[in-house]
Amino acid sequence: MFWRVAWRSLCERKVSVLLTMGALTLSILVLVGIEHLRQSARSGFARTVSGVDLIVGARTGDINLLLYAVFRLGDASNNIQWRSYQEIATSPDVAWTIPLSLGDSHKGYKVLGTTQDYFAHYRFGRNQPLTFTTGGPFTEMLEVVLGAEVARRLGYQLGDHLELSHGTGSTSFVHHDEHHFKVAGILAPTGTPVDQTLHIDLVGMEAIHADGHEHDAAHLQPQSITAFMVGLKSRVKVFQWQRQVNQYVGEPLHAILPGVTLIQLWSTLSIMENTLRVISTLVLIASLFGMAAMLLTSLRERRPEIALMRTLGASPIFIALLLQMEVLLMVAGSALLASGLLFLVVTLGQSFWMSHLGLQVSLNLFSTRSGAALLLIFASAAAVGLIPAWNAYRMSSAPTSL
Amino acid sequence: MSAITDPITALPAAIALKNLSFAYTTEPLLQIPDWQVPLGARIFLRGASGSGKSTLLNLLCGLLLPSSGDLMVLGQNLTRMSGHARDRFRARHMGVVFQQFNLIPWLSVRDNVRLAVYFAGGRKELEQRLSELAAQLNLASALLEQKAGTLSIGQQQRVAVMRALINRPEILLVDEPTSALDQDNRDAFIQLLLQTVTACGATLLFVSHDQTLAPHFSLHMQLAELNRAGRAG
Repeated sequence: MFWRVAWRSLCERKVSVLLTMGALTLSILVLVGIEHLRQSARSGFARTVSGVDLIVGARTGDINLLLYAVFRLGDASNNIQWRSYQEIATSPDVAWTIPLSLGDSHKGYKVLGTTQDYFAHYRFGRNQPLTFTTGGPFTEMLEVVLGAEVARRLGYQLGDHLELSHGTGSTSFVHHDEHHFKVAGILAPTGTPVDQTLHIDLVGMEAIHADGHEHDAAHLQPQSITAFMVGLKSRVKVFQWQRQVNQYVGEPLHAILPGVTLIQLWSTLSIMENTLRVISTLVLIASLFGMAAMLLTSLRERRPEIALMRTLGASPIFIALLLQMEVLLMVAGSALLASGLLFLVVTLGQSFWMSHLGLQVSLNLFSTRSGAALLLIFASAAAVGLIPAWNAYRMSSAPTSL
Repeated sequence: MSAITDPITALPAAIALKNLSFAYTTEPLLQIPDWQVPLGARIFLRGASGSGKSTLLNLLCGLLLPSSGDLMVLGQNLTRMSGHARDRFRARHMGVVFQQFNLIPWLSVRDNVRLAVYFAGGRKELEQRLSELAAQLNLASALLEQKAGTLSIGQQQRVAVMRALINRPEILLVDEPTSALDQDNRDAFIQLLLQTVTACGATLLFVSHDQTLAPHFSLHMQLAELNRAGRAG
């Protein structure tokens, strides 16, 4: 009977209840949605690069080097001389290196000049190697390997020819029309910036930039690269190596441990993270107060009802619980709606986030953290619900006020 | 001393007030030295509006507590009960019909009645009692499923009587139930009310300002005669 009365009472005030639930649904959606995206971003972030001991670039900040070498964000202030790279790469402690040469783009996607070692040694996630959907690594100067997203978005197939330009913009003013690259392979999706990259041979990179038309590989030895990744034979030496690179006499170099710098970068982002959390919490609190205000206003018009129930023998506690139950019913309905909407948004938006932010959003909404968020929402709703409930209690304890 | 506390008295009075006074402010509104309503009586209590009628009814059903004095209902002192016990007592032993707003408009007639049963903590023979009362009060069974707010005033007042009597209360308090009805409906309603109350054997306290209703009742009283408040001397 109690449930029936609470339910009917809500149905009776359909419009204001639905509006309140709309506000609640949106704010719960924002809160839980942000929490979910944050977790996805965090786990996606940590899996961007793996198995690389050191990343070496020109002297710069740790995070800046990580950003341009791994996330292809921003530009390097300086390049490294090919000579320095060669010297470090041939050291006996080094198992492998991956040279990285950045600075060009194709239709908004970054072009990375590298060697075949990239496909052999680069790891992401839990030490997963790169795999090909079709084709294989480039073997010739004018061949290109596409990231999964590049191929999908631009509709390139194996064997297609595409034109690479100098510069990083989507529309570049300097075109080198002569250089048509042939698609040699397309990589499987990784959920990392690799998906948005076009990979060409370092020599091919030089060819784009060469003044004349000397397409003779021997004459196209690169003079400099942007950065390189290092795998050591023994990880024990990694700190010693980092120090050595930082003290390299030939030119100012900088080495970072990618795992350590990823954590640094994430903690820099935590201000952003916390700001989003605070905002979404405030939005939720605002809509909870809105609900309390709605119920308080409704109390005035419900005075005769409450007086009647009291006459029938309802205790003031019953009246207070009735109000509290209406609060919880509204919040439960809103939470359910918000979860449904979030599932829809995540499912439909998955490819959008993947392509625009390189973010792999998990479809599993019911992690412990979003469960905790929902619990917190219910607890705060119950707390806010005490305001109208307490008012109803006081009102019904004194029949003269009815 | 008083008959209420006298162990020789076999049956307690339905209502017994002793030296009762009640004040919202410092000025007392009600002062009743001694008043008893015997069990099974049907009393017409006349009082002008503003004379403290509603306050007296609120006291009798335990929604208000007297400032001083004893308030006995069915042999129990309401002033010594906890709030929860008074709510329970009211639900089980008293039925109340008001001038208006007797039903929750957004609940069906049946749910309105069930709510009264719910608060009294009873459930047994509800359906049988419901159809019995509905027949006595000329309420069609199809009406039971309608929302109370859609009923006519006359129907609503009859449903209110049904709801007030569903728990077989010993006492029925009725406050100006006919003021919204026209002459014909009013007399028919009172006839129906008296018949139903007789069938239930409840004590009836009918409060109204309308002297023309008095002939329906055998016992008449004036609130002004009971109440000493505001009188000089």
